[in-house]
Amino acid sequence: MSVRVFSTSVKSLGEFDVIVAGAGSAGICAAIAAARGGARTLLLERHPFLGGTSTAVLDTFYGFYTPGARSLKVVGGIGDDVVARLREYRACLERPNTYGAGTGITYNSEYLKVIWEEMVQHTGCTVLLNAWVQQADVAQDRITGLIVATRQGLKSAEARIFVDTTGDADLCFFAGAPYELAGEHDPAQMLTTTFKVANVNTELRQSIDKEEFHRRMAEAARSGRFNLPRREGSDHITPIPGMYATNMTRVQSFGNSNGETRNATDPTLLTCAEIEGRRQALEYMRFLRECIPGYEDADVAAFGTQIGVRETRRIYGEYRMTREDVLSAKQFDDQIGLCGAPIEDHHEGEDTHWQYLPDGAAVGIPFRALLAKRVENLLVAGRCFSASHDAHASVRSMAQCMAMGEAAGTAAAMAIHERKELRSIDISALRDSLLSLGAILQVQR
Amino acid sequence: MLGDIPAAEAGICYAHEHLILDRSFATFVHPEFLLDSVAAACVDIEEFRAAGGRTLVDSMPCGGGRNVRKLAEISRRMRVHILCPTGVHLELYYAPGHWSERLYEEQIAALFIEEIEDGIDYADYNGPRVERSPHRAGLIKVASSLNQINPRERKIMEAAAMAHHVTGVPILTHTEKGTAALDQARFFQQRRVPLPHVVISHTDRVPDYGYHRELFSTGVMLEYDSAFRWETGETNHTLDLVVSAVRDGFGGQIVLGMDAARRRYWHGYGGAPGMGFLLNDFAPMLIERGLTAADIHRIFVENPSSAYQFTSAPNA
Repeated sequence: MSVRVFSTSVKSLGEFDVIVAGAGSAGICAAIAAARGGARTLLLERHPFLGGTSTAVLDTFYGFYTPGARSLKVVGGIGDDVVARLREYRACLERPNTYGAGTGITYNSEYLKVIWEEMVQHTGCTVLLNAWVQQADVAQDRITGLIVATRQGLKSAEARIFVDTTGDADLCFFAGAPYELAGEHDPAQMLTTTFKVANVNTELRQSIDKEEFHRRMAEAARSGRFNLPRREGSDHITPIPGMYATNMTRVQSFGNSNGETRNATDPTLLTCAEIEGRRQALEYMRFLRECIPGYEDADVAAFGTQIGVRETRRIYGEYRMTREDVLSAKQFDDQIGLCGAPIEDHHEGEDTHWQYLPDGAAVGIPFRALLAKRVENLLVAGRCFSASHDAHASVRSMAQCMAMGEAAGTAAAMAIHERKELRSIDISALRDSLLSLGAILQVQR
Repeated sequence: MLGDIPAAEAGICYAHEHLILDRSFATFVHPEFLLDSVAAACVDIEEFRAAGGRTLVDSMPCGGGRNVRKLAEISRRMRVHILCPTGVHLELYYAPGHWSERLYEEQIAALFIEEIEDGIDYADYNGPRVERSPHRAGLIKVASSLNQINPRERKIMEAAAMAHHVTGVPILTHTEKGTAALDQARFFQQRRVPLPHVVISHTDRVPDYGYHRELFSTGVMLEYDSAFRWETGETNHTLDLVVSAVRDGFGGQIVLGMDAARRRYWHGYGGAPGMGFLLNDFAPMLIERGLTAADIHRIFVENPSSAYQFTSAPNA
C-alpha cells in the first residue's frame, strides 16, 4: 500500500465556541441547543440539505413513545418543536407501528428539510452545507480544529468544543478516540435502500393485512420468480395520498477477512452496497406491482438519497450501554434522555429480532455515554454513541438521537459559558436545564 | 408609555399591575377582570401618587385586553410613568385558534420586537390590521402553568429570549400559584438572559422560604403581590417572606406589586383595599417588623428601576 503525504495551505472558516459535525437529528438538535445557549456554533453537513437519515433515508420518527399497552411519551424538548412544525405544515401523520416500536410520526421529508433549516437559522447558528470533515487536529488530548472539504478545496475551522454527530463517529476516527467497528464482535445491522412509491391505490392495498403481505413476499421469494433477500419488509402510508414508503431491501453491511473488519465506512463496500440497494429496490418494486393489490399501477418515485446505514462505528465512551441495561430499563443518576424502544436487530437473514423492555418502562441514557474517551473536548451524540450492538439496536431511533443531541449541545453551551471542561460540568444543573427546556428524564405514568 | 426615561427618574414603583383590562376574550370568559374605566383607575392612582408612587408596571400582554390609548391617557392625566408589556399570557386568556398557538418562536419574537422598537399595536394584536401607536413596549410578559412550563409556553419563552437578545428588553413572568419558578429561572439562565432582568411573579403564593432562597440564588428578581390577599387571622406570608429575605441579604431581589386584576380590589370600582395599600399599609407593617427606610427604598425604588432597565443587546 502506498501512502502519499501532502501539505497545503488552508484558509479558516472561522473560530467558534462549538463545532457540530454532521447535521442529522442529533447534530441539528445539538447545534440548536448550543446556539440557543449562547455559544457561537458552526454546524457542518456533507449533504446539500439538513436532516441526515431523517431526510435522506427515512420518513418516520420512532422513539417518542413507548410501545406496548400504554403509549408513554419519553422524548420532548426540540423534538416536540420539530413535530409541532410538521403538524403546522400538515406534513405528518401519527401511525401506530405494526412492528411494535411504538407510535411513529410519519412525515413528508421534503418539508422536514425546510423545517430543520428554519429552526437552525433562527438560532444564529452558522450552517455550512456540502462540507465534509476530513481531519481533526489534536494536541494534548484536545481537538483544536477540523479540516473540512468544500467545493473550494480544504478549509479549517477552530473551536473549543466539538460534537461528533456524524453517525459514523468520523471525528472520533480522525481524533483517535476509541470505537468499535460494527461487525467486529457482533454481526452489524444490515443496510437498507428505502424507496417511495407513487400512485398506490390505498383502499386496495389495505384489503390485505401484514401477515398476508409477508406471506406473499415469502411465496414470491420461494417461487424463484423474484430475488427478495428480506421476507419481512414493510410498506406504509405517507402524508401524500397515493404515495407509500417502504423499508424492504436488505444489503450485507460487513465482512471479516484476515482479521480485518470492513463495514459501511469502507468506501468500496459502501459503493457496492449503494448499487446493490437500488437494484434490489427495483426488484421489490416489481414484486409489489405483480403480487400486492393496489400496486398494479404504482411505480418508484424516489430512492433514498443514500443507502440507510444502521451502525458503523460505536464509540467507547465513559459509559457503555449494554443489553442488560436496556432490557432491565436501568436508570442512571446522570441520564439525559430515555428510550422505550425494543432491541430491534436487522441481522443477516430473512427476519428481524425484537426484544422488549418491561411494559411502560424506559431505559435512561447516561451523559457519560456521550463523552468520548481520550479526547477531552469531544461529545458524541446520535447513532455512534457509546453502546454495545444490542443496546444500540434499541437506542438508535431518531427521537433518542434528538434527545442526545439536545443534551450534548446544552452541555457544550454550559461548558463554554462556565469555562469548564465537559467532564467537570455540574450534571444535576445540566439535567435541571434540560428539564426546563422540556426534556423528559423520567417516565411519567 | 410616553417615551424612555432614565432609571433614576422612575421613583417609587409597583411592579406588577393591571390598570386597564379592556373588553376581550379574557374579560368575556372572566367578567370580573373587566377594568375598562380610565376614571375609575385614576381614583386609585391618585391615592398611589399621593403616597409617593411614580411608576406602574402594567402586566397584561398582547391580546388580553391591553388598551394602549387608555394607558397613555392615564399616564398623561395622572403624571405617572407606566410600563406596558408585549408578550403572551396563559392559553386560557385567548380564544381557541389564537395566533400564539400557530406561530413559531421566531415569528412571535418578531411581533414582540416590533412592539418594543416601533410601537404597541392599537388593536392589541387582535387584528385584522396592525396599527402602531407611538407607545413602545417596555417589557415582555410570559407565563407558565401549574408546576410546569408546557410546550406552548416554552415556545413563547423562547421568543421572549430571542427578543431580549435583539433589544435588551426585561422580562416579567407569571407563575401559576408561584410554581415552576425554578424552571423559568433555569430556562432563561440557559438562554443567557441576565437573570437580574427577569422578574418572576406571584412566588409569594408558595410560603416555603427554602424555595425562595433557591430562587434568589439563581439571581432572579422575585415579585410578591399577595400582601393584601391573605385573610385576616391568617399568616401574612408575603410579610414574612420579605422580612426573611431582607434579613438574609436578598433585599436587592424583591419587588412588590398589587396585581389587582379584579374590580373588587379598586376603590375606583367601589372595592378595597385600593392601590394605596402597599405604600400606606404594607410599608408600615414592614417597618414594624424591622425593615429600615433604606430597605423600603430598595424594594420600591432601586430594585424595580434596575430590573426593568434595558440591557445592552448582543444581537442588536
